[in-house]
Amino acid sequence: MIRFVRKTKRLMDKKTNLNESLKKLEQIAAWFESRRDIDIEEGLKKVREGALLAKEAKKRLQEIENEFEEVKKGLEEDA
Amino acid sequence: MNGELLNKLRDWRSEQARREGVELYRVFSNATIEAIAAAAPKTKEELLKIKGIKDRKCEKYGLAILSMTSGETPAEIGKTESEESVEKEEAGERVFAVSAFLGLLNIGLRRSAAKVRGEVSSFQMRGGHAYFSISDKDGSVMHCFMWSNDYRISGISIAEGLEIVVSGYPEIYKPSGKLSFRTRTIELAGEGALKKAYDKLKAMLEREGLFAPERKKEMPEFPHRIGLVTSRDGAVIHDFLNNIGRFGFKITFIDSRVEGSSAVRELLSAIRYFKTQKTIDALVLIRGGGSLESLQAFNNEYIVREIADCPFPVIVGIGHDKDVPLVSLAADAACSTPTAVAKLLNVSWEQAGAAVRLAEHRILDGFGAALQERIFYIDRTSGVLEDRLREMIERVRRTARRFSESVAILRERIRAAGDSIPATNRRIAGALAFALQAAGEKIALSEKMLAASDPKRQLALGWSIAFSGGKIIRRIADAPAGSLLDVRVSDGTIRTRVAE
Repeated sequence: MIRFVRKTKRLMDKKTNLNESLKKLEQIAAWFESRRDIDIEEGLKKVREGALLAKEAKKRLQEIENEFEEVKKGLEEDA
Repeated sequence: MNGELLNKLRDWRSEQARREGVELYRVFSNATIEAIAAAAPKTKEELLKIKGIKDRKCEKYGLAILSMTSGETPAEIGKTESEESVEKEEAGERVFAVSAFLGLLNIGLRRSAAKVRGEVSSFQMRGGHAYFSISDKDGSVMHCFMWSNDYRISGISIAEGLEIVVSGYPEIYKPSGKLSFRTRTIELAGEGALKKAYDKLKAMLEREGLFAPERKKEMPEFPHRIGLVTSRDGAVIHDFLNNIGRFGFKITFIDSRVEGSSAVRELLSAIRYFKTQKTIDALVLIRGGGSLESLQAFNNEYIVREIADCPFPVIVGIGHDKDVPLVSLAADAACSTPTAVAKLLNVSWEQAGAAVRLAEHRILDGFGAALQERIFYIDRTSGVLEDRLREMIERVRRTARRFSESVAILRERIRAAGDSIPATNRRIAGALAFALQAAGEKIALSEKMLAASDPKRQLALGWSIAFSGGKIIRRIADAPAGSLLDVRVSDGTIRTRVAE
């Protein structure tokens, strides 16, 4: 349980990163599609960056068990 | 722990919370209630020692608590010592004071909690509280009382002639001595009345714009912290949990009745809990299908407004027949099954996976195309070079071939010419031989002349040549005083310095 909590916390920090990663990936893809003459060196740099982003995103998207917690508050009605 | 005292304290807390129109825990938390029951404080000082009780709460509730811990019920606060002793003894020969006796009756009546159906025969609002009576066709009448807050959240406007079901317990109101039904919740009786109320409320909220599409909050991308409100029992919660993807969701669940008289109160309490905590990305409210009657809580004005007012997106999944629950209309997204709600939460996560894969493809395709183009270019240019080189080599070869052909032809001609010499032109050959001999003599003469003018011959005869810096000295100016001279003689070189 504790392990889950820690995992989740770490993921929460990375949550915005997933969104960012997707945005950056999209930008890189668009970069390749938007120009005719691509500098190979620069292209290679972008490919490397893209691969890293994709790897990170995939890591976040792999199967992770959900965490379930029940809140019990002073709900017991005397009915 | 004193179980009886604990129950008393709980009853008192419910009553108090209701009177103030607040959540139970705002009066006292469960832990505090239990601590009071365990410590059973007899004085204010003792009460203040309990965790969770500060001056303000002591001031507000102290008297009530102390009256309970000393064995009284809250309804009897303020009665005299003698009355108390009366109650503590076995009833029988005892003579009761009116208040004490009514108090005793009320304890018994409290156990007769019930639901009663009848038609409203009178109705009055006093100080925000509702006083009304319900009756049967045969003329039986029951007086009812309802705290203002309870009445408000019931979402029902009582009017004479309306058929209702009240839930609560009977109590004798001491100042009048009349039996009054302490009503906690009211429900409308009969589908007809429900449908009418539903249509009326729907029209009103629609006019207010509560269901307008522009009010709806967007579903969050990658929702992570999910608030879940439904009943612990039943299939819906399982359907939901079985269909929500394993994307590391953090689900906070609050069990709530979703039908019956306490449903409104519990749902409200759960929704408010999430509103005050504000730590969720979306709230999920689910329930299995049902009739208009069983879905009353989801057509309650209070709940509908509470849902519409949530700071986070609310997804409602309630099965329904013809009339869409008003809660579903007010929610930011509505489905009719818990499975559909779960899938809605999965969408952005699943799409993200596809988006990543798609982006990867596009990037690799883009780079691949660029590389292909470059390879084409290199192929093309290297092709041109190769062609040129081949051409050059070909030209050289052609020249060489032509040359060797020429040589062969020449050789052939010379041979042919040679063959013809003895036969036809001996004279020419003779002349040629003479000419060659003359040329030979000329060369020998020239050699002699060359030998005569060789400087080495002059050196052998005793001449010498002076050099300065590798240059022959022809004038005095070529050899200034102090300069080094190399003087070449027949058998070597003399190194000397010019003295003057």
